[in-house]
Amino acid sequence: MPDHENAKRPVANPTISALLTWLLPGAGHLYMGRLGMALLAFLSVQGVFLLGFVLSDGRTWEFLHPELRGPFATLLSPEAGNLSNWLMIKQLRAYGPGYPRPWPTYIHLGSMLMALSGVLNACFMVRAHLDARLGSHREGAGLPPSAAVFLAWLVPGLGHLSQGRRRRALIVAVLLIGLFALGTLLAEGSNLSRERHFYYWGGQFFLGLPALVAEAFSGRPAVAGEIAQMDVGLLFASMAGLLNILAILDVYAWGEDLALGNNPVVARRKKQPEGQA
Amino acid sequence: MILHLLQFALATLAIVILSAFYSEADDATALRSVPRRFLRFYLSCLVLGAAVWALGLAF
Repeated sequence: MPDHENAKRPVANPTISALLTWLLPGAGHLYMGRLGMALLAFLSVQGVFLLGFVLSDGRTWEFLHPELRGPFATLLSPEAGNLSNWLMIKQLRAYGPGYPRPWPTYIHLGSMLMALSGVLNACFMVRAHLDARLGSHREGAGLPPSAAVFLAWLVPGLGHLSQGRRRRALIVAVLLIGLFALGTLLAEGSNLSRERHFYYWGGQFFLGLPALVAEAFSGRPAVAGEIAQMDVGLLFASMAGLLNILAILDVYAWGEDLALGNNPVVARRKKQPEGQA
Repeated sequence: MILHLLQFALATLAIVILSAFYSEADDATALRSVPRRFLRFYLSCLVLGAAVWALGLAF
């Protein structure tokens, strides 16, 4: 537990606040009596989700190959960051009627928005967890950790940059965007479609804008023949997104320590098991 | 074979750098630990790969 935290009394149970937000956007803040933030969370997350749902007709999960479908198969999709909506898709649409039919025109955009709602809700979970521990009191200036987390998702390295950690920002950006670009090159762009690679797409979605912009500009070209390095390409592109989650956690830990009034470097070392620093 | 080892080295480098950043907030210390972490991870995976290959031959 960070040093400074001992001196504070949490205004609510942080775990319950975060879990309530996961169950329903804004519920964690409502539990803390913070109506304004609860409304902001609910309207923004559900608004983005609703727009995505309408554009895609809620058919995103029909992208999943029939052999991979199961009751919990989509828990590995970014939409699972928003449990109420995950359950809603499961109840209303699930995997569709089971026969082929044309996709809605904007299904890919809708699919991205629905996935985005999961990431947005995760940021509000972060916010709810910290607010429950600190109330409205926060040490230091700068962006709240939840906003830095969103920036870290949006563009790899941007969250670090917002915290003034330029060298780390540059290394993270070059490494992860480079890995994604190399993966896309090796897979000849075949990774840029959720319809083709549902789970790999879910991984690379955590790379934020670089993956989404690349997909939008690629136009999701058809695969004409065998791609020699496709597996490696898919792995690299997806890995870049998944490794960005580590970068996001690093951004959060730094922001959290600053908000608690701790020295982030010292606090992180204290959390390490002996001999691993 | 060489190409696969190089590709794996690249993936390893990304994993190791990000894990170093995750566990160490100070940049200089994190970067200093990368070669040690890289060697340990890469060699461990090679040993694991060799064991799996040997088991594949045996059974």
